[in-house]
Amino acid sequence: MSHTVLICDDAIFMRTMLSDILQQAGFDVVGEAETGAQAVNKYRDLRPDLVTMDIVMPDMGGIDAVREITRDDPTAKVLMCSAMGQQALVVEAIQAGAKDFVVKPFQPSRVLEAVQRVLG
Amino acid sequence: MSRPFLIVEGGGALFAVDQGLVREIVPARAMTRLPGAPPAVRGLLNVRGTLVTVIDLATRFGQGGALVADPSVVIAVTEARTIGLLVDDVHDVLSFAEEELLPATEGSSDPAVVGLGHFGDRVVLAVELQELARQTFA
Amino acid sequence: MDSARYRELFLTEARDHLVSINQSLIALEQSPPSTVRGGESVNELFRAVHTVKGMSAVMGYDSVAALSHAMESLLARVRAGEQPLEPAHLGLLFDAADALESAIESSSVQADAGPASALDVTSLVDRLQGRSGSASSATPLSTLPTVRRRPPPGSGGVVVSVSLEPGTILPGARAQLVVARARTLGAVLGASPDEVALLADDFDGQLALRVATEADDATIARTIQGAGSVATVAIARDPDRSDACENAPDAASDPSSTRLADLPPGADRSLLADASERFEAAWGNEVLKAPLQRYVRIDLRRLDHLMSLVGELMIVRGSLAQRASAHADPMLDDVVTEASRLVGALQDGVLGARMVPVWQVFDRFPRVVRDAARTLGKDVEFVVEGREIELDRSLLEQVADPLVHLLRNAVDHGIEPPAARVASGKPPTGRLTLSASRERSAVVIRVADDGRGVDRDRVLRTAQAQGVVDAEREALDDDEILRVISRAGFSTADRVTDLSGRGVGIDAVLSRIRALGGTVELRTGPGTGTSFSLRLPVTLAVIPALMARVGDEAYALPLTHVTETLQLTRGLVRTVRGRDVIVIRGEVLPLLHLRDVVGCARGDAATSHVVLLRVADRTAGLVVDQLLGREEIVVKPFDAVRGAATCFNGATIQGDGSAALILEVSSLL
Repeated sequence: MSHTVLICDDAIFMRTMLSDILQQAGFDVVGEAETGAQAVNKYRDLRPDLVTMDIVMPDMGGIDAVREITRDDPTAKVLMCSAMGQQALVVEAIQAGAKDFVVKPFQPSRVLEAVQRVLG
Repeated sequence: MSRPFLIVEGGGALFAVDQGLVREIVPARAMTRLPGAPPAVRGLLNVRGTLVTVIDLATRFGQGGALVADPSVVIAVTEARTIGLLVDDVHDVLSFAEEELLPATEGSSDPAVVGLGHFGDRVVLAVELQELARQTFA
Repeated sequence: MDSARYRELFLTEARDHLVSINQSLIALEQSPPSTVRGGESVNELFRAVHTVKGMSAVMGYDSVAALSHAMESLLARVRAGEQPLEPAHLGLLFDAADALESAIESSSVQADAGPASALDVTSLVDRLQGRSGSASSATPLSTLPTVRRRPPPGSGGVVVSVSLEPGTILPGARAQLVVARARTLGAVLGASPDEVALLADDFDGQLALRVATEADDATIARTIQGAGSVATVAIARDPDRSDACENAPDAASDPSSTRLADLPPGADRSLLADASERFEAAWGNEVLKAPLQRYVRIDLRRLDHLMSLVGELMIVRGSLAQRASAHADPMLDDVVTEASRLVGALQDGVLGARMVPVWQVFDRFPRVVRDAARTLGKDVEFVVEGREIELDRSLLEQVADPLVHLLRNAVDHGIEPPAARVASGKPPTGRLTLSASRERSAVVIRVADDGRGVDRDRVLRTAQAQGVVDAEREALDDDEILRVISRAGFSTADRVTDLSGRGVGIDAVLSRIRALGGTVELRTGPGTGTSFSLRLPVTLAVIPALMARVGDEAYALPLTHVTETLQLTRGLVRTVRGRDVIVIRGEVLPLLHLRDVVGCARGDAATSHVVLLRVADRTAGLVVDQLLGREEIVVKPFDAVRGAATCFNGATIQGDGSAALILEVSSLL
């Protein structure tokens, strides 16, 4: 059975691209969220195997969302999606419980490598 | 190089149109006259919700006009415009090589006429649909 | 991958962000970042620029990415309070927004902006960075001394030395992942460099950890490798060794480790404080909060498709009702009535989904007005009213250009320069109002200025000189002025453009609005200003119409233009100068015959009706054979045929499947 993924990003553009990359690699994208708050709620409902999380999002950013999600479910596997120049935030996200990160611009191979690492 | 043409009949004359542009053939139901349009323009036909401008091929090329009671309309698309050709009958698809089409001599400085070909022992007028559409639409 | 699809998504989203960038900049111009509103604007701006940066980097649009990155950097410093926002910065950001727009638009055409705009971008990026550099008092991080690769403090445990692959992206964050992974093995007793020093720009990817773990070497190595981008892992189990890093092959040969080894212990603390404050300030969580989106984005083509399906359903409904009525079966009638009601509700729903608030277009205009005012040296206060009024999306899009035109015209020719305004007893700042309001089945969009008004005499004289108006006329009313100035080519009369100038492109505005089924009204007063009111149908797709018959043909007359209908009786029609007129309540109106319009012989009709039609100030009677009743009709376009009457540009499909032409009343009168 393929792994389920929840994609969180406020840009449709980014969600579409990630979703394409992951679906082509055989993942089952079960949901998308455009705010941190949505991400937390959808995580609760969907319990996906993997979450990709943007850092800068309206209505609760990605870091707070990671914190909430891992508090509910310490085994949650969250992959941060970051832009260049957000190192401190990525570090904060990792401290909050994110399992790995990828940096935009995304290369599909990098995304998939990181996903494999996260899913172990 | 030869192209496939659809052979149609209207007003007793035969016409050949580029088969590649033809989308479908539908029965000619009631058409809505367009006031002021040239006589060859028979009007608007509703093809599943899209309004298609229909041209009577025989009238357009000086053959009098469609004769039968149940004519058909050949729907073709050229340069993003849909055009309907009112014809009495649809015959066959036939391939013509460029050299098989004789230049149309009589009365033809009409750029919509590509040339003349043969269908059995009858003469066929090959029509350039792009040009026909350009002449028809504003 | 479907790159065209990404391009489209990128463009749509980037354009939205551009609108909000411009709005935030204008807001910042009015309230500085230190105010609440200004602070919010900086945050908005920051978020929009940041998102554009991310998307453009993915698309490989280097110019867009470079520019948005430079804007973001400047904004981060402003946000952190390191950088006051001076007027020069704002100007720069406005320029950058423009360049960003053109870079975004040209990106859609070619993979990256061409050399010409790339040059602009480079110089702008330099300026964005240059200004901030000179004004900033903060020392750049990279010049700070670096502390690294001292053996991890503490004692005991296993010393794990890790070197990351050269060129690892965000090495500090990757190192943080190494630390997080190490924690799954046991407590991390010490780390070098310090976890925060990992964030320094010159962190070179070498780190050492002291981990309290019972795991074997292979497990440790595998666990650490799992962090990704790890080149080597060296494990030392001798707690007495003071420099564990020697086990890491890359680290041992690096001379900097000894050179920097004896820096004062406070150095990395200051780095910590500085770095975390910087990021906290620039990226703190409240920056990242914005109002929750209530709307979903739908591809317009999907809505169009739904609309045309509903259109077909309406046609089916019509023919169903016709057939059912022939059966005289009350049960069947009930079902048909219910189905009709549902189809009607469905149609309303789909139409509603196509409606968008006018702000989606209006919000681009403050920038337009601001720029025009600056260029022309005018002071203009721009007021927008009725932003929430809704209009069919395709209509709204088509009305955008005419509005830009009217707004620019108002700033250019309506509103006087400040000195002239003061001289005529007005406040120096002119007022330009763009408003939208709903009036019955129409939306009225009004562009009004408090400027000098149209010079009536000048327009009259020019019109007389051109022979458009009788030489003996002494005055023109507003509607006549509009008609005169909207004659194509009238504006090119240079004597008019420099003074009243109202003719510039008004013909284009008028023809666009009329093509949309709307009307334009002008009101102007000397010294008090000018207003243009555009009256538009709320939606293009379905209009109420009066169906009429001549001969055996049916035609649709849009109800917006119908004022009344009456039976044609003998006494009603008179002939004046060879033309038919009709006298209604003492008013003499021209009388047209639909039979003439459609080229159908007159006279054999059993009954005749007159439909009174009105467009703006013009009224006329139209004679038809018979009235068929009022209907909601779905407008279908068709390709215009050469030579055909131009007063029909759409048709509707009737219950029997045949089409009925829709009369465009404004081109008839």
